[in-house]
Amino acid sequence: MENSSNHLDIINYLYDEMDPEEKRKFEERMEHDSALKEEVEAMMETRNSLGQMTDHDEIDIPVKATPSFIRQKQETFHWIKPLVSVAAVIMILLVTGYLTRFTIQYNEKGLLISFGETISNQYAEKSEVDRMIKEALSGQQTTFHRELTKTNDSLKSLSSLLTQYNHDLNKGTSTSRMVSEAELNEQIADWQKANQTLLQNYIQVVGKQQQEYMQDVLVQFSDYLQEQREKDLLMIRQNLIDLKDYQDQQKMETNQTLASIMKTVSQQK
Amino acid sequence: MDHSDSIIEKAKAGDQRAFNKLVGLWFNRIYNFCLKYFDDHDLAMEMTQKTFIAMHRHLPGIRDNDRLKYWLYKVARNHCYEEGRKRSRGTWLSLFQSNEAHTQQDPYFHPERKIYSTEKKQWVGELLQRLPEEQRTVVIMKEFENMKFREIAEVLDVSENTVKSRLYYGLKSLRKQIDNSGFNYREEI
Repeated sequence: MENSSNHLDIINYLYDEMDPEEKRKFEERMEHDSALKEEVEAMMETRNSLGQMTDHDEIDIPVKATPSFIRQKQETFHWIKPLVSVAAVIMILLVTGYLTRFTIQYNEKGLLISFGETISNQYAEKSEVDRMIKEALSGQQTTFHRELTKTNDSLKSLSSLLTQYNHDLNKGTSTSRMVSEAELNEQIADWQKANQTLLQNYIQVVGKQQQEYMQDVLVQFSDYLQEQREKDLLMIRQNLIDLKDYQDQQKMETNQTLASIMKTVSQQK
Repeated sequence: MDHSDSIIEKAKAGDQRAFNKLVGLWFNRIYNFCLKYFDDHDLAMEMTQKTFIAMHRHLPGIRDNDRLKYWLYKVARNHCYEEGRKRSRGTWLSLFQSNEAHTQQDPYFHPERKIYSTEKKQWVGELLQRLPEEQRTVVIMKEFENMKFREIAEVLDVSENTVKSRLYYGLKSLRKQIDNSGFNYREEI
């Protein structure tokens, strides 16, 4: 069913482009060729499904498609657009200036540009500046003396605590010497044994969990790869079929063009 | 849909009312063609407007009034084709676009997953979008615009047999897509 004559016949039949005799012959052919009949029925069903897509309701014609708009766009808009742009820029500048309290002053000392509060032009006298420096220095000295006294107090209390601690430590060492060395070794051996058992159990449990987790991940990854492979194969298969169809179509069109050229050449002869 | 020579002649002479009338006669047809082509109202509107702006500019140059219909479809198709080419050069993701648009581009996307939640005609529109441009144009012109094979051949500047073969492969491809979707439209549509 892949030759061009059949394609044309099917289309001619579907769209009622056959004369009664051709139609009768084609229907006879369909009776004997189940594949052809099946294909024609499939095409009919496809056409029916396309019939579900109805036209959009009547829509309002937008102003852009009317001649008055087009003319207005061509004749008027070329000078309105820059004008509106300039006005918009001026407006934005004015609003920004107002919001930021932008001011410009010009006097004998020069040009002053500022945002927010206006800059004061009055300078302080030398004696005033000296007084302010002295005040700041004396304040700093007072604060320094106060902090120094506090630090000294803290050091004293720390020293007394350290003396007490040393005394306690000396006392504790002399008591511990009374426990026999054999008992101490035995206790340490018990602790080491318990620790070893605990560590072994921990390693076993963690190892098992890791193994299970890895197995799970590998299974999931394998499933994912398999699924992706199947999807890829499906897509490649579909694309190959489409490519083949497209090639068939191109081949048919080339044949038709060649036939038409040959016909024209033979007519000219 | 028919229009008299006198309207066209008046429009050519600069009569705005006659031009408006011409637009009124053809706007819906051209809009519906563009809508089927893109399955997108905004794009269809844009392409239709471009077509009529072109008509306003070139109308006086159209000598044979009977060919206006072919001329309009040809211009609309060319605008749609150019727009489609622009869009296929790169995938533009709008900030305001929903995820739905992406799923439609997904090669593993199956309409069956959403068929029951959307309108059936929308589904058919989506299937139409997956056809190659030349097949889609022929299917729309024949199935929805009810144009004759001779007329389509004239608009597309190809032979009638070429139009028929493109239509055959277009319908075949649609059939395949319907089958692959697993959606039994005989029962559902």
